[in-house]
Amino acid sequence: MNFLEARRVLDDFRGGEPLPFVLALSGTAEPFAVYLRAAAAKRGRDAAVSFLPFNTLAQALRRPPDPAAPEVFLLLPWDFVPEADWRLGVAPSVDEQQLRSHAVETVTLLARRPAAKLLYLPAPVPPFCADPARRTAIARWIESEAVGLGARVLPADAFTLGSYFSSGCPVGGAWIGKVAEVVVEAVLAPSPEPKKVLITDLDGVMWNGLLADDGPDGIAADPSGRGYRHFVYQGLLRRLRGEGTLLAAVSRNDQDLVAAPFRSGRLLLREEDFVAILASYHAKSAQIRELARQLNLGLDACVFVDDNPVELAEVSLQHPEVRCVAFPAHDDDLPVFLDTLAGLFARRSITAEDRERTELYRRRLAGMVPSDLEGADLTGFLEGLKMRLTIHDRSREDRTRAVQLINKTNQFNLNGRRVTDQEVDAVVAAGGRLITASLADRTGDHGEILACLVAADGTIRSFVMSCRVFQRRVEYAFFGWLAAQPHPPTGVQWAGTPRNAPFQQFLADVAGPLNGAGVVPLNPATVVARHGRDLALFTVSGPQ
Amino acid sequence: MMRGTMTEKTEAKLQAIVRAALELPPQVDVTRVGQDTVATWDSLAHAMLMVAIESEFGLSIDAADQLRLTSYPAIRDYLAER
Repeated sequence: MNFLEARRVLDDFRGGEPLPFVLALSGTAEPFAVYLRAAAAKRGRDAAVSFLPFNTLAQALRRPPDPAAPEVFLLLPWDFVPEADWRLGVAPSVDEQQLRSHAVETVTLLARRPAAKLLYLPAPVPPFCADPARRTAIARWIESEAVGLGARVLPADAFTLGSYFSSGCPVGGAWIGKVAEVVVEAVLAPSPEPKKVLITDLDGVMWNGLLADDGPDGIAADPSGRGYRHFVYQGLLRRLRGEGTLLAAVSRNDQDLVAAPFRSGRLLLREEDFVAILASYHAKSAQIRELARQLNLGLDACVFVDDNPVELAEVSLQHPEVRCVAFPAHDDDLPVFLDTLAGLFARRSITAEDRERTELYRRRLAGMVPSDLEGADLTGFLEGLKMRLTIHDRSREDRTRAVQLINKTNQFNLNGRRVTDQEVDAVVAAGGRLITASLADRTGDHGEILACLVAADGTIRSFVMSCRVFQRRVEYAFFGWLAAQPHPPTGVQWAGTPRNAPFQQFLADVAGPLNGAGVVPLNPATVVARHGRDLALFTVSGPQ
Repeated sequence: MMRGTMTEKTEAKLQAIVRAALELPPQVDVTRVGQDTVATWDSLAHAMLMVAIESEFGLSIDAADQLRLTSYPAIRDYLAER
């Protein structure tokens, strides 16, 4: 935007909501005025911009900010190192240690203004020290300090020495309109308030493996092989906790199980690093809402990390304010993930209070129990997943995976009974069937995730499903499909175990309230009627 | 723009810049103004005018030149020479 265009914008502007702000720079800022007002007017705002008196930025940094007028600092190298100011000429000698300590002081003062928006103009610097390599190193160090403060770096070409010499304005006419636009954008950008609570899933995120199926000794989060990604993640969480971030865990698990790994001494994180570890088979969105309520923090202060896109969608649909971040499926995606996460919790300074925050909130949340409230309706999201369910008849061959699944699954397990290949043979020989299902969707191929052994008398002896695909309604759809087949099952051999609460919840939905262990009757027509909608979420093929 | 001359269009543009930057009323003949005859043409207004000219004509004016461009004719001649 050049000068006459800026004037035209202002002539045509009929007023708008006031936009008060301070443009703080060490030099003459007044030439910016018309461009700033025009940039604001283009966005429908009436800029009320004020400037610091000439060369008083260092003094301004020592005064408290005015909360009514947001600050934008347009920083130059000589705000950190006065010896680099062209208007002072070339210093006869410099003390590099003194120079760096002055810069650190400026950085410290800027860090105390977390609401300020920072721009850094990496202007060339005069040869203030004899060794050009040292000068370059110092210039880059200053820039890195500015970036470390969260400053947006402007193109070096925006600095104009002629303008700076003659009027003290560091930006010449070729760039002033563009820089003014950046300043106004910075003023209007919402303040990136650091998030306060990191709520993390456990299985597949905090560690590799499934705690309920693999046991505490079967999960991995150590610096080797399959545990590496989780070891690094825990390292970041440990650091964030030390900087004042509150950590909480929300997992589809049993409450008595989830604390054990943190007490084992094998993980970087300990139980006391969390304000709460919540295990439940109810909606994660409900746990997060209750957690935020008890912490007396807004949902917009929360970040939720999970590896399951369905869980992320459920939380995101129910609480759009919560920032949901997917735990990476591949090692190569880890750096960007960690960088994003660290950025969400970035603080410019850390106080003693920050370090003690976890203990304070742990006391507040002592005794918190998971919520049993309903979560979001995921129908729309699940439709978008384009799920494909392939049914396999494993009665005669290739049933290794099915038997393995029955024998290792604890959570979604009809009765916890383990089976041998010979037992399956006997059931099949007597006229029974072993049916499995594979799932694929937009997010990838999940493999064979479900196994169901039906005896000749129509009783389901075993029914298990991998908890990796919880929340997708696979179990309901499969039951709906099975009930619609010729010779549908008429009952299930149910038994409660210490770990199969998710199955109990499912069975109560499908067959009604449960009364102890034994055969629970099924009405195929009712199942078909009730779960036809779930089946419609899938493209079903097979049996193969 | 040929060396030493200025098109009518360019000159009209310069007049518009000077008039707007110094907030001169319509009756003032902008081609005759100078820092010694216009009260609003102080050092700050001069800085703004120089930046405005740089912005419109896409050039960078050295500090020494900026200090002597204190009248419309001086600016006009300077631009005609560029």
